[in-house]
Amino acid sequence: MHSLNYIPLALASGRYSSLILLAYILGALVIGIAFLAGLMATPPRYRKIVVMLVTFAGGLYFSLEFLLPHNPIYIGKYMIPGSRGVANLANGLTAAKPSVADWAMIIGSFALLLGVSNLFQIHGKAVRKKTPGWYNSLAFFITFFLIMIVGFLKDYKLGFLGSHNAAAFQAGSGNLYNILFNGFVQSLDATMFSLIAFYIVSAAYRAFRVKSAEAALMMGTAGVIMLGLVPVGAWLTNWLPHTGFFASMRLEQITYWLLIWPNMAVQRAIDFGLGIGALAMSLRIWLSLERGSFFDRQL
Amino acid sequence: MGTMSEFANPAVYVVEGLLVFFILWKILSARRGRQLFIRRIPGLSVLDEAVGRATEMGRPMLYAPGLSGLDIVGLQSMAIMSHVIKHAANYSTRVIVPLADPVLYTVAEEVAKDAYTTQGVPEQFMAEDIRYLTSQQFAWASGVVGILHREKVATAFYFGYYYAEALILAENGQMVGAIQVAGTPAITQIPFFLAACDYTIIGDEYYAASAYLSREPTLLGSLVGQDYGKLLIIGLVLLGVGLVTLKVIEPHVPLLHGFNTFAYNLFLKYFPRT
Amino acid sequence: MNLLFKLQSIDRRILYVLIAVVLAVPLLKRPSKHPDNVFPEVRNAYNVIDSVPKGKIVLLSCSWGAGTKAENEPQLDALMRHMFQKHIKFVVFSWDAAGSEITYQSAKRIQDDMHAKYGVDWAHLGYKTGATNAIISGMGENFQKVMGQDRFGVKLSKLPAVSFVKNYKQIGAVVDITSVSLMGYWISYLTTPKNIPLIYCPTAVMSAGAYQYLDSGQLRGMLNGVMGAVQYETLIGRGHARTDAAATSWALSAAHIFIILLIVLGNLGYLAAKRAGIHTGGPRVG
Repeated sequence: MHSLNYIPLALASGRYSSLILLAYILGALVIGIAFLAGLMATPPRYRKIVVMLVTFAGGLYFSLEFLLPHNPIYIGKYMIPGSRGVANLANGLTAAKPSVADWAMIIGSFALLLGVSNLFQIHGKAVRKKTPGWYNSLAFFITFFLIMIVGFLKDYKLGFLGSHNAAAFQAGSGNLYNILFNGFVQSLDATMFSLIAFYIVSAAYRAFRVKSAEAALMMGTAGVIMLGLVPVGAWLTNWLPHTGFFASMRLEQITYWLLIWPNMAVQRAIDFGLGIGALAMSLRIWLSLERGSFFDRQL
Repeated sequence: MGTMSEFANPAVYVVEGLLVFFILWKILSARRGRQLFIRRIPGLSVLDEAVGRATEMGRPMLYAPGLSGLDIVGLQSMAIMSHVIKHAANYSTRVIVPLADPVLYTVAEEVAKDAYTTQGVPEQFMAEDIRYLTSQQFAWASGVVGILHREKVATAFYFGYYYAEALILAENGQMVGAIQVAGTPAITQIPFFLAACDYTIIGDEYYAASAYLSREPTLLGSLVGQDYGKLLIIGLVLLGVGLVTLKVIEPHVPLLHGFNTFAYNLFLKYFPRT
Repeated sequence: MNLLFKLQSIDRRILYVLIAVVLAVPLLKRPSKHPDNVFPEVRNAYNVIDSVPKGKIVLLSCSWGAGTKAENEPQLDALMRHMFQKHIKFVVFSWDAAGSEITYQSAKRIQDDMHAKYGVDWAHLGYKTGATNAIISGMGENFQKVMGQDRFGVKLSKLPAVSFVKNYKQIGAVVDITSVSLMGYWISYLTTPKNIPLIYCPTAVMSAGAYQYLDSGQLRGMLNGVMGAVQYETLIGRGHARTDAAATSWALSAAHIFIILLIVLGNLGYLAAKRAGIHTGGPRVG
């Protein structure tokens, strides 16, 4: 943990900064390759055990950090032997949280690279083999590199162009970036989301039929909540007093009651069920008890 | 009432310990050969029928794992996908799987390959049918909608974590006349699936799916253990409601003071309101 | 009778045109009338922000994009304006690259409107990627180390708005403005363990699932979609301004009435057909 803190100090001081960074990167690469080579060299019957141990160790951090007592345990004046050591371990795990966060961000960044490399493979194959719709894959490459280059250039001045030209070039890149991001990406994203407004109309109109008493109850409740949450609902029952018994008949009050009592109870029940289901599945994966084609395969 | 602890308190040890105990106990008991009952889940029992429909119509099926990554939701989706592909393999029906996560894509490819191999038809596996589209939500949704319309799928399965794109997919599936079966732990999208799909599985039926379909002892045992856990939670809720009610009526019944203090120190202080 | 039967099978294209008109009219007219009633959870959210002590900041975690801009941006707008008014320092950060860009653009517009100063009154910390639980729990222990620098690469120690924040003790409140719900992570890993108030600002469809957390106290307040935002604007004194939130709330009203009417018409047609003994179709299998 302490050695990792040398990086910012060395970089901040400027001394040997690039060399140290290079050494860390190379070291990480060597360790990673050695680990993978070791795993590949492991006899197949032991690979599953290695995976099980790594899985278990990986899930251990947050469990221990939460479950282990952070203070020594006393029974009266008598401290349970070993509890101070356990508390020290627990506090050490808590202190390591920022470093764990760093590791999580680093590993998360790899997933970004993985996604990009996957896209390149798939679309590259489509362009090479000219499969049906290959021009869409070509469009992917053009837009990918265009927005990447323009995104970088809008923030950096190209000094070799001279200061006047560099500023103009940077401004131009900025404008192009705005067209691509705000004009294309944001607008397309918002357009796709807006389709839901239309689809909910057709789905509600087609599917919501009062075929039973329960359906009628659900429709009535849905109607009350839909109106109670918007200004027009409050307007509809505005003639009722704001205080007193009849105030509870105002549409927004009925809506609020429905949300905080029956709705809350049911949501809580569903959440308990989902939580226990998630606990069971997490436990099975953590203890390598999960079964299924992916988990039972030969490694 | 007490303050929320930053770390585990005795109630956590007891409740979580019991939950873990029930699950592991039932898994071990199932592995020892004990027969366990699981009720029929309509949305899952129709899977085979849905595969048959696609075969009769001579059109492919779509299996969309939503925006799930390599997490418990995604892995559960892969388990269900394996079952669907095994059935499809029996009838030589194509299954197209569009994915939104590059890591899950590699898993899906392996699962699909294994599923076809298990059924004895490895040659039916087509790598082009397992497609990583993009990680962007609506770009992925547009891609899936395109597949629905171009391939004119007869059956669509939506099992995974969904956000707003759920309704877009389900409505477009309606437009092409596909039979649609959906299951997601995302409570917010269940109403949309209910409105637009033919069958929907709700809440923790999603996590029960792999056990229901495979009848594998470990998974069945885990499912029964979960039910015991739910009984424990129900018991705790009833106990808590009872004790809090006694606390509320204490001013009118002073005799309850001693019992309430005992109940608070033993139980209630470990379940504080924040 | 034929007309009633036809009521349950109106061409969806006609419905799409009608809903487009119903939504467009209020958005174009932009009424400024804000609702008079304010839900208790919105008022609680206001009170939480209002009572953030000096020497503490507010974290605005934004996990939304262009798709939910109509709901989440008014929430960001109302909260930022309130904090600028009260001189409460805050940071905005996102969880993906596109979200970071769009939230910065929105926040900058509000900053310019309120004549606030970047780096002094607020800062944008870009985006974080990776295991959310690790990042959230890490920032509670060492904020400077985990968050590192702002979106422009400037170290946090050089920004007056945030240089004094060491750990959770300098965090006065967390606001989760989201379309994907990171509330569970905030509750589990920072706000409940460290007793920091959490305000939840989801899209409307997600808000129904938050009431149990409001009841248990794990959420201190909530802005329920754009309606929450428009009610919050009433509380911060913008009750007569022509805002996006107000226009959207009236568009929502119109759309809700339209959908209820359609459901009623569809059911009238269904009942008429049922009375006439005409089978209107059953579940589609095979």
